Amino acid sequence: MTRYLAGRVFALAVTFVLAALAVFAVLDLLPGDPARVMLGIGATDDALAALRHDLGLDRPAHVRLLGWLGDLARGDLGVSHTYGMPVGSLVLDRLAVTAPLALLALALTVALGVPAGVAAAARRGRAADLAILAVSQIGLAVPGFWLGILLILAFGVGLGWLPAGGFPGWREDPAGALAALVLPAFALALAQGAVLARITRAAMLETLNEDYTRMALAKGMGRARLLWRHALPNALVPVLALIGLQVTFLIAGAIVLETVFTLPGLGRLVLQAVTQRDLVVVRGVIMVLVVGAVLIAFTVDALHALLDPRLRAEGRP
Amino acid sequence: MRRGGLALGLGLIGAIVAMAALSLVWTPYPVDAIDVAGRLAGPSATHWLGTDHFGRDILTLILAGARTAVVVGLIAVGAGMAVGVAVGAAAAGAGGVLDEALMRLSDAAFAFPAVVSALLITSLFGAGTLNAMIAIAIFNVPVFARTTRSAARQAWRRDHVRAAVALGKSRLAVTRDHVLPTIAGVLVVQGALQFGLAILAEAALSYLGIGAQPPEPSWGRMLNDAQTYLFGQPWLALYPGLAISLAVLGCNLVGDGLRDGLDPRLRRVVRRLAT
Repeated sequence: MTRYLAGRVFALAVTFVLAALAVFAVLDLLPGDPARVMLGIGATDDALAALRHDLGLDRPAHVRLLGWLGDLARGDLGVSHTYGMPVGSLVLDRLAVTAPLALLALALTVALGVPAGVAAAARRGRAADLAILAVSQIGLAVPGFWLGILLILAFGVGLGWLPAGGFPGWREDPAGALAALVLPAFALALAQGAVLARITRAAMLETLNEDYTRMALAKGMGRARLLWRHALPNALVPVLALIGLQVTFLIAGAIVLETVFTLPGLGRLVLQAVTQRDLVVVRGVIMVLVVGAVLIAFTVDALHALLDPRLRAEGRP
Repeated sequence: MRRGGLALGLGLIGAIVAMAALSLVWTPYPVDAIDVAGRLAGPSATHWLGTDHFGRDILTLILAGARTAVVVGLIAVGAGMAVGVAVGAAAAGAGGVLDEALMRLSDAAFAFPAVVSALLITSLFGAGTLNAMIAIAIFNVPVFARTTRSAARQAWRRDHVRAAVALGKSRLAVTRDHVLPTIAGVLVVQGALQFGLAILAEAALSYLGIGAQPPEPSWGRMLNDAQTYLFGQPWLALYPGLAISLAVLGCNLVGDGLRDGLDPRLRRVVRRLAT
């Protein structure tokens, strides 16, 4: 177990460094002058030289790389030129919207996907199974941002039950803030829930075919107990592996849905930074998004190893 | 039921490709024809699906949007597949340290969904269809690398591949002549699923304003425009969303239908993702 985890931690560290290198390479090594990009075509030579110095662009690439890695290790993401604030505090501010949104979406994903998958597997080949498969096929095809727009039409504009966009702030109006996240979280969760339902169904069908479940059935165990207590915990192992991967897509989806619902989260921050050419913010936010996704995926992986002894013995399947 | 799904999927993809091809030679109105007096009109005999806020014909934009979706999807998935298959086949063929290194690289690449790489690329090079395509291709590389590696590792254990090795063929020749043909079916299935995801990603990027730029027609862009008029002209948000959904549904049905025809051992190698 320790050895398996040590291996995963090493892989995690490698992934971090590679991700940091990729972000560094895109903004620092590719052709194009970041200072020119930030100041625009009309910038004076003096202003360009000053900004290049501020960004450290007058230093050699390897010095800048080491500086960037060192800053990252200390949690220093630099200072935004448009906001005049440290990127770290900007990120913390916006994380108060994005993190709850992603978590709510993840909870909805699991709440929709796992029961649907179990129900479909329990009624394999019958109407309920086919209906769940058909709905999941639709869930996979409908773009989250279009679903968001349709939900705004139905619940925001039509029925007026939930806000059509905007965010009142947690401190000012906690209930309103939570309400503002419900529709975007649902729009995010439908596609991921559909994938999860399909994986859960497949995993359940496999465990329901194992000798121990047949044995339990032969001994007269009730169906509900067999499904939820015996088959599901064993089927959850591949399901958990998928959830780790889904986190990345939930975060990417959150960037889009924050725009649909005009939520002041990390996605809005980075999109605005892209249009305002604030490369320091772009780089910092993307690093935070990537590190967040990788860390969560790692946690899920470690849980996965705790639950499945086979993994510890053989490494990843 | 499964056959029906495959047929429906092929029909949907066929329709989208036909729309894209048709838009090359004919559209009801020119793509950039603006008619301010007739803007935001509902469906009528002259404009079957109505007009947008510039008075452009919606049907024309939907047809031309199919072209953008198909072209971006084909190029992005094709490029991602070319690189990903090479990486995955090299990892499976070489094994050992190279395998481990390539898979760690692909793990790191997995942390960059298309939206995130598109943001990075756009911040430096500006928004546009080409940059969106590059971002979607980057997202496809690790997907194909992992699928290829898993399938190729199984193929290396097959008798006909071992026989080729025993005959003294080089690992490169075995990969080219025996491993890749064995796993081609898996790659086609994964390609169909990824094509659907690429259409979704292109639409999302264009919706965000970092994909296709006006006046280039794109379904995602149309949805962004439509959101401004959601209160007065909600039907504007209907057609582009339906077009995207049907295109993606078609790809997924084809992918699933073909997957059921694969060797069961290879079937589980296919990755089913959602964006």
